[in-house]
Amino acid sequence: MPHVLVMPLVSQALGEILPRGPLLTVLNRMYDQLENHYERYRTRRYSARPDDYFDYILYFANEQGEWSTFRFTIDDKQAQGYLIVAAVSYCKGKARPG
Amino acid sequence: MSDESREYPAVNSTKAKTKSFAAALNYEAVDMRQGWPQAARDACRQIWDLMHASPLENVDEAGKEVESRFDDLINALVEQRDGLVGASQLDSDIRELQQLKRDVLENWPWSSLELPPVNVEMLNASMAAFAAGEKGQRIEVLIRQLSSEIAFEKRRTG
Repeated sequence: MPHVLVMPLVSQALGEILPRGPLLTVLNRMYDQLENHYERYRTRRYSARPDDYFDYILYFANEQGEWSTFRFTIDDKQAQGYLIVAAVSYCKGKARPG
Repeated sequence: MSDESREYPAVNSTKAKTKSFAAALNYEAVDMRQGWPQAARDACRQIWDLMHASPLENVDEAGKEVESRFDDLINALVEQRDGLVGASQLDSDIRELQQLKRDVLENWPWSSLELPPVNVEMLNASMAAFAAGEKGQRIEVLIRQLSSEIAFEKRRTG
């Protein structure tokens, strides 16, 4: 079971985006899913650097029913047994069609 | 039960909620025509509450279920309207439901939509910091700290 490390820039960015309650909810979900179901997510590689990183996506609705999409970029090659959450990007509301 | 349902309890909860949404929007409710728009709004509210309680990695199935139930109800209302004389009330009901469907699904984050771009600047800075000795924080430590802060804040504010 890998351990999840969150880099300071990521926790700082999340703290600026989310109030503490929702932030706790998001972190708990990440903790559970990445530590227990890493194999499920690791196959979604970051296309620009597939050898090093995978994408972990979370959709979250706020109390007003507005969606947020979080894209975490996670290193699983740097340190054996550890997943390093190195970056997060985020969009709110409607995304552009892909 | 799908593999996804077995592994994600929250997905099961989402399915249960979308089923209750379906129950709120069944044909009998249409037949009574008593307060169904409010029932539909309440059902939507329940879904939002669930989504808010648990972020998910994929919400396509829930979105399709919601969309399908809206379509079923709108079609049932249209059929009933077309079979009645003086059913003008149904017109406004149908319009209201169509608007509610648009409101709910307009911003639904389907997995086919483009993701936000990777924050390359943050990525490079984090990995440079890691190489320089910054090891980040175990996520469970962050969770404990945050839980303590929230509990302290609750005690402080009574």
